[in-house]
Amino acid sequence: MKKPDPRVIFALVFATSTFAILIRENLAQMAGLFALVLACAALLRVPLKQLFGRLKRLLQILLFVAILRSFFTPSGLVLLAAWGLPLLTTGGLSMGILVALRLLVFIVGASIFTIYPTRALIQAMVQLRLPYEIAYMVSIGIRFVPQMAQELRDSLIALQLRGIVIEELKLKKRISLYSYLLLPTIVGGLRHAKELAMSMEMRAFRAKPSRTSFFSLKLSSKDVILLILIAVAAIAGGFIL
Amino acid sequence: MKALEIKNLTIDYGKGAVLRDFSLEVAAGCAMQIQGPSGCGKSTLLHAICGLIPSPIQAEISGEILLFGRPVGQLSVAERAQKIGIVFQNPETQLFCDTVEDEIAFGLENICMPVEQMGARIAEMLALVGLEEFRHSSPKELSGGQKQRLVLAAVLALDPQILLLDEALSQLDEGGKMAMLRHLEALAGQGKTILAVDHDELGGKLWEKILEIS
Ligand SMILES: Nc1ncnc2c1ncn2[C@@H]1O[C@H](COP(=O)(O)OP(=O)(O)O)[C@@H](O)[C@H]1O
Ligand SMILES: [Mg+2]
Repeated sequence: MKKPDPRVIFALVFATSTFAILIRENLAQMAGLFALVLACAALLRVPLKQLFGRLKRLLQILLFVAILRSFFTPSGLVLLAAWGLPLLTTGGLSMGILVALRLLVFIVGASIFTIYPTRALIQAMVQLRLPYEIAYMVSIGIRFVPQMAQELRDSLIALQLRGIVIEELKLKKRISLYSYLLLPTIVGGLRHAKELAMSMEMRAFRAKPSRTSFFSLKLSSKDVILLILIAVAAIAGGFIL
Repeated sequence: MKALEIKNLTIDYGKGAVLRDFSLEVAAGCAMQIQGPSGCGKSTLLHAICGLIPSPIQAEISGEILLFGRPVGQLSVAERAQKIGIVFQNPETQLFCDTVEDEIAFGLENICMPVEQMGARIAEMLALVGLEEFRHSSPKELSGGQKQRLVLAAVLALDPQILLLDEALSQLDEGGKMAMLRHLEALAGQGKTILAVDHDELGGKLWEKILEIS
C-alpha cells in the first residue's frame, strides 16, 4: 500500500488532537477517538508494539495518575473506601482514564509521522506554507532527541562494560551517575548542532527568502478523498459534541 | 586580484592566542597546502576565513580577512556561500539529509537552482566522487571515507571560488585520494583557489605552496 501524502496525516493528527482537547467529560467519546487513531496507526503500519514497549514507563505513570485523579475528584459510585474516605470512585476513575487516553491520542497520532522520511515531512510543512527555515529546524531538532538518547545509552553501556551494575546502585548514586552522564551528552549535542548549523549556512542555507525543491509532494486522487473524509468526519464529530 | 588576503590576524579563545599576527596572501588559481602539528590552529584559520569567528564560534579576533578585496564580515550568507566552500573536519556533523542525493541537492536548492538542472548536477557530482550506486542510500550507512566524499561533492556542487578543505580526504583510500587531488588540481587550473589542510605531503606540481603553521 502506498503511504498517503504526509499532509493527509497532518490533517488527521490536527483533527484528532483538536477533538482530544475538546472532549472534556465523555469517556466513551474519548475511547472512540483513541480507537480511531489506533486503527489509523495500525493501518499505516506504525510499529505499535515497539511504541508501546518504549512507552511502558509512561503507561505505568499514566495509570498511576489516573488513580490519583480518581482519588482527588470523587464522584459516582464508590468502588474502594478506607476509613469512610472514598479512594476509588467510578466518576473519578473514568476522569483519570480520559486524561490518560487524551495523552495517548496525541502520542499515537504523532507516532504516525515516523513512517515518513524527514525530507517528506519537511516538504509537507513547506508546501503547507510554513517557512522552510522553521521546517528544517523543527525536523532536525526532533531528530536530535533519539540521537542524544542513543549517546546516553552508549555511555551507560560503556559503564556496564567496566563492571558497574547500575541497577545495584543506590538511588542517590544512580541519580548522580545519570546527571554526570547527561551533561556531556547535552554539551556534545549542542556542539554537534552548532557544527551542523555552520555547515548548513556555508552551503547557502537561508541565503535567499525562498528555495527550490528537488523533491516535491503531489496529492493523489486517493489523498484528496482521504482529506475530504477527514473533513467530513471532523464536521460530523463537531455536531456530536 | 588576490583571492584571499589575511593581514595581522590574531585569534584568542581565551587561553592565549592560537594565531598571532598571522598574514597571508593567496592568488586566485593557487592550490596551497597547510601543515602543522595538531592543535596549532589550522582549523581555526579556516573557520576565520569563512567569517565564522567571532560568531557563531566565539573568540577574540583582530586583523583583516579579505576575500577578493572585501572583508568577509561584510558578505551576506549568499555572497559568502558563492565565494567559499568549506569541508569541515568532521563529516558526521555535515550530513543531515535522508539520502545521498538530498545531501547534494540541499545547497543547490538553497541557491534556487531550477529543478530541471538539478538532476544532472547531482549525477555529475556523484560520478565525480564515485558514489553513483549510493544515490538513494542514507548517508548514515556510508563508510567514513564515503561520507567525506559525499560532503566534498555537496560542497563542490555549489562551485565555490575558494575551496577550504579541513583534513577532508583523511579517510579516503590511496587511489581515491589521488583521483580527488588530480580533480582539485584541475579546478585550480580553472582559476579556483584551494587551501587544504592535510597531514601528508600532497604531491603534484600545483601543490607547491606549503604553509607551515606552528
Ligand atoms: N571553539 C573553541 N573554543 C575554545 N578553544 C578552541 C576552540 N576551537 C579550537 N580551540 C583550541 O584552539 C587550538 C587550535 O585548535 P584547532 O584550530 O582546531 O587546531 P588544529 O586544527 O590545527 O588541530 C587548540 O588548542 C584548541 O583546543
Ligand atoms: Mg583541525
